[in-house]
Amino acid sequence: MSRFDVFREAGNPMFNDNQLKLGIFGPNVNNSCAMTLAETTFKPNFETNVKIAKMMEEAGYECIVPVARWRGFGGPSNFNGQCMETYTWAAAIAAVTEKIYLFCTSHVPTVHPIVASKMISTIDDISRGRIGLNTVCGWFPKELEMFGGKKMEHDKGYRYATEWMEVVLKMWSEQFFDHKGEFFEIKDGWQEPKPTQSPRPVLISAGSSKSGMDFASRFADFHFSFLESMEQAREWTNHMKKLAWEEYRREINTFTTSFVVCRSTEKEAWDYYNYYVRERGDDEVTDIICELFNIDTASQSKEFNKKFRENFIAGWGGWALVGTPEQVADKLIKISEAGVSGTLISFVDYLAEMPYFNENVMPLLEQAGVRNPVKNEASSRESMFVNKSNFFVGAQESSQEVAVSLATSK
Amino acid sequence: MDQWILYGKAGNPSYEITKAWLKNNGIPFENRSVFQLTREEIARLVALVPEGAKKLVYPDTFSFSMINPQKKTEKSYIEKIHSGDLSEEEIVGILADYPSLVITPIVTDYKTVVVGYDLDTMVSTFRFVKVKDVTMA
Repeated sequence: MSRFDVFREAGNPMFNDNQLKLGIFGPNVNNSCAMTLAETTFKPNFETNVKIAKMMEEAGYECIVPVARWRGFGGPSNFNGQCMETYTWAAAIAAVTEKIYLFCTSHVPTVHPIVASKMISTIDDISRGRIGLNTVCGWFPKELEMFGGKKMEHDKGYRYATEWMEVVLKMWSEQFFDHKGEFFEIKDGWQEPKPTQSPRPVLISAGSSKSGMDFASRFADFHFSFLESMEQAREWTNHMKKLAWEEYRREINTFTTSFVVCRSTEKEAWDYYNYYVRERGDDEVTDIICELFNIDTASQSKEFNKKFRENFIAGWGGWALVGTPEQVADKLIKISEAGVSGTLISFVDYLAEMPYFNENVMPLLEQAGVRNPVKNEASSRESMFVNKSNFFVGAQESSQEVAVSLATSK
Repeated sequence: MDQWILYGKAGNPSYEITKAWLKNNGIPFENRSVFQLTREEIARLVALVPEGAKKLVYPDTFSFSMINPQKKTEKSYIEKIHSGDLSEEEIVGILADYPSLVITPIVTDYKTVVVGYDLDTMVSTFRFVKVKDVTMA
């Protein structure tokens, strides 16, 4: 039985029967994925995040991946400056949700692996087996410098992450172990509780360099990356599967990110895109991020630069899902047909836009057979916590109201 | 704790992004319209600007008209102010009568002043500024 079979048998949402899995990215940071000054009711606070999570559970989404950020990137939006720390975020969301799989995004240089492994095990208990780990080395110097010292040089960063991950895996699976490596020395390593999940919490990572892909092949269950085209999506997926199998005899899946602007007419969708990206986009922070990514704008064509910048402003470089419900569903189905397991999506205003997506795009995905209809047991299940039902009703009511207003305003 | 004031004018993009920057960097400020500026406050601001009163005024009629398309009377003062024929006191008097001539945004605690949207100056100005008092009982 393969590792994926064990996950599947354990009922892990990341390995359910849905051919196209869906999640969201960055509900814990201000602006989520959009580098814009456009008005939004979205707030990266617990109350909003619970409402979003409840809407997602009702609609059958698989997961939520938060962004780990220790300071903003700058610009007038100070993009992602306000950020709920991801371990505590995951623990709290876990306590008030029932079905959705949560990831904790962890910058490996900012937390000792023993602390990380213990926190994940604790959240595993709170969530009853719904916590995964997204490991990132960190690439934003200003935030990592706050932790004392410089951002590690790229390859050293991955050597550190590899050893960090090895320690975490030992903590989850061994008792009374010694470890001596380049970065950590652990005497008589011991941890209780171990994660209850079988075989262990799902691991994801998103490094796109050679070392990053090697790290993912070695440890991760899902490799995350941006899409450039459907051909590239197919090639990337095949490449990762081959790499993981040939190097480490492991299975691996791929997952991507997208941003959604879904309206009842194509014109309306593109008008809003034009407004929040071109008119109210935060160009200053886009410049900062292009520089951080070493994007040499001078050597690229005008069209490339424009598209690249706009994709960053619109949704952190994600794949554009702009248009009517039919057009958005069609683009999602194509992602699935390319062999990618799923996509995280983002909205400028989750509470206002997600209900429309859930009510109009999800049924089309079900019709196309890439997702199964939701078996909604949550409403009939007894709540563990008294205030849970209040959150649920609140989210349901607000989502219905917004869906109606979006539909009638078209 | 320092009290910062942001003077702005609705519809001015530089004011809007300055307001967003202050908010998104957790800096408490009082938001006031430039039309609320008093003569005394203008005089205090002028005293903080090394270049003098002219620095607080739109540099030319074109940039003024972009933000204030309907203010024809005020427009005629721009060239007069920049001509060098008026004293500082006279300029302060004109600005008190016609606050729309004052360039926005202005961020000040009346000890220091940042005129216009100037990110570098804002970052250096707000370095080490106490934004929250945590020593209170």
